[in-house]
Amino acid sequence: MKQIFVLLLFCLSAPCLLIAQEQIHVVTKKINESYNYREDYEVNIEGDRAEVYIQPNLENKILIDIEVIAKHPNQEQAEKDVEKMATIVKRLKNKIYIRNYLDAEEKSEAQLKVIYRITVPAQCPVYIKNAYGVAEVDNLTNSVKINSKFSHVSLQGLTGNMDLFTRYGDIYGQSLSGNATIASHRTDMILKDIEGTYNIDAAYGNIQIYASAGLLDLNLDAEKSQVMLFNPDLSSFRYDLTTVSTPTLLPEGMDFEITQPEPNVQRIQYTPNNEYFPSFSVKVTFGTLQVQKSSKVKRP
Amino acid sequence: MSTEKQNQLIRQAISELPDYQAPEQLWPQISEQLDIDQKERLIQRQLAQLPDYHPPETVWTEIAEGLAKAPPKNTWLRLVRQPLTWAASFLLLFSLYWLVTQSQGPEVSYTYTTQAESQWLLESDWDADEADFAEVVQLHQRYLRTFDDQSAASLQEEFDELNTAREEIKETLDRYGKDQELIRQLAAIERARTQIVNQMAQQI
Amino acid sequence: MTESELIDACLENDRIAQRDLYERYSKAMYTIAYRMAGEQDLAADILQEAFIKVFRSLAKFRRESTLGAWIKTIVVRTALSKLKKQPKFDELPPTDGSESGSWGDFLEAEYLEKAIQSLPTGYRTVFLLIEVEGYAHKEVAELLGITVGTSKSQLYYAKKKLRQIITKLLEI
Repeated sequence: MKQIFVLLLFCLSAPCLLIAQEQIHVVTKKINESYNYREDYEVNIEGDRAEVYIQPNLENKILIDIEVIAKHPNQEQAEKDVEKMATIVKRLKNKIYIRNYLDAEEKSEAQLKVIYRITVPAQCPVYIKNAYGVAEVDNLTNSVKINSKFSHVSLQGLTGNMDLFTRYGDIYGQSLSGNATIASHRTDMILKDIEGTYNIDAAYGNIQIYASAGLLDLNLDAEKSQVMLFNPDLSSFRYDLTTVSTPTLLPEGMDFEITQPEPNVQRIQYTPNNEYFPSFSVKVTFGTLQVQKSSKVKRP
Repeated sequence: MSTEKQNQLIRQAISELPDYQAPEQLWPQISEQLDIDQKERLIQRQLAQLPDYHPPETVWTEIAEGLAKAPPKNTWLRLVRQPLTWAASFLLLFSLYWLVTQSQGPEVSYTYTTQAESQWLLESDWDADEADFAEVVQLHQRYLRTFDDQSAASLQEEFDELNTAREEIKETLDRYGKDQELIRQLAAIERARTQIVNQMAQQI
Repeated sequence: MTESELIDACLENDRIAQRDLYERYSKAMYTIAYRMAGEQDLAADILQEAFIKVFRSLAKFRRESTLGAWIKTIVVRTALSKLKKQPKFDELPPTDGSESGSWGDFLEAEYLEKAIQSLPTGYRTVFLLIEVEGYAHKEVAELLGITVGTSKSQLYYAKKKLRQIITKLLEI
């Protein structure tokens, strides 16, 4: 038994022994800045290889923490390369500009990235432009605009206006309430527990939408995408679904009116008996569409 | 004299017309012009190959600052500018004092640590299959020229788009160093490209 | 985003849209500015001033031409005014230098670029606007405040001078 245990231990540790581990020097340049908030202030962030995290604070201030991180086996190289990443934090009238960039002619031997941790009053509008990174925004109440490329976008607990323009990467949204406009290209998307009105234009993505009772209107135009709509209360919504060469799966037990105005085109409609009802207007072209019941989501 | 006779005389005279020698400097001039034409062709060909240049990043910062400032004031305001400037100076001095005490500019500090990192992160093999891909794409393009197939054209467009995305990420990897997240993104694009190349192979 | 949507967003002072528009055109416009100015700092100044003008007068863009063409006109005019004076037009054709001598079958872009940068300002401006940027003589005449005839003759002499410079560069 003991021999088996030793053998097992050896087998488990052997792979670790086989992987060569290298010591990497990590040089972190930290930049801190703060501004007293005024009612008309906005925060504009333009990140390149940046992770942007934005949360609300109760201090009526805009607090900015930036870390520029360079990793290289040679410390001197890491120190040299961390300085190649230019960062700008500036206030011009009512706009706070925060940027980082590597000059077009520069290259870094070290692995370089930037992390922004920014807290703002909840009602402060935020505009983010980012590439090859992360944008996470939580619990703001006014306006969030994001233009991202190859980035992971996460929005939680937002109310107000949301405007997203994304290429590649993915979007995760939870407990959103307001008016959202999303234009995405090759971006996978999960929106959970959403309320308000949503206009989504998507191409080449996997799109999952979990509606809640507060969803008033969903207009979705999805090309070459896989679309899944989840609804806890299927029959209380109006459905106007148009599919073009798109296999479709509908929930059972509902009296959908299905017509075929042209070959390969299906129009699927359902109107509830209630006086007022929210609606799904969905068009999917050369993709797949699935509508099904989900479990009810309780808001905190 | 009959017309026939006249024509005969004319024909005879024509056959006796002398030849003339071209001036000696003519061929060098023609040769020079041919030479110039050849040089012009080389220049025109290369005009299309001239590189583009990237502006420095600071230009956008300056533009943003410029847009934040008000545009030039109207004429009547220029007349009262001097007295207003004097009055504003005092206010400005006071504001500057207030601003300085409010914001001293960003604080900068440095930390130094080490960490262990796995070597297998660093292998760059994403160009290994390019020759095979190129072969399929070339055959598919020939197919497209022959059959003008809409779905085939669509595949080519998708492939071009993914190629552009691939080049963008590779450039970023080159400039910013190798990073797990970027490599994952690149892998996803490679998978999508592979799928398209497989579809192309089925079509041809 | 379509061009029209981008313009509308810029008119609403959306900084992200403005940055987008700048990024779409900055490389091409900087290239024009750099070739006209002959130096990077001046080219950056030209680009900055031109784009501020673009955003401030975007409401006047009538969408009859492409946005790129409209922006290019602003960049070219800004470059010309930044160069401070009307390009000097030589009264006499260039006589110095020889353009005889073979170049072989291939001319490297690097030599051509160097040669263009070596042209006197007036010749360089006309050459760039017509041969590189594709303006017609009538448009160049209007931009530079000269006659069509002068534009044509200046282009002729610019090309002659260019050939001389290239021949000299290739001899080295």
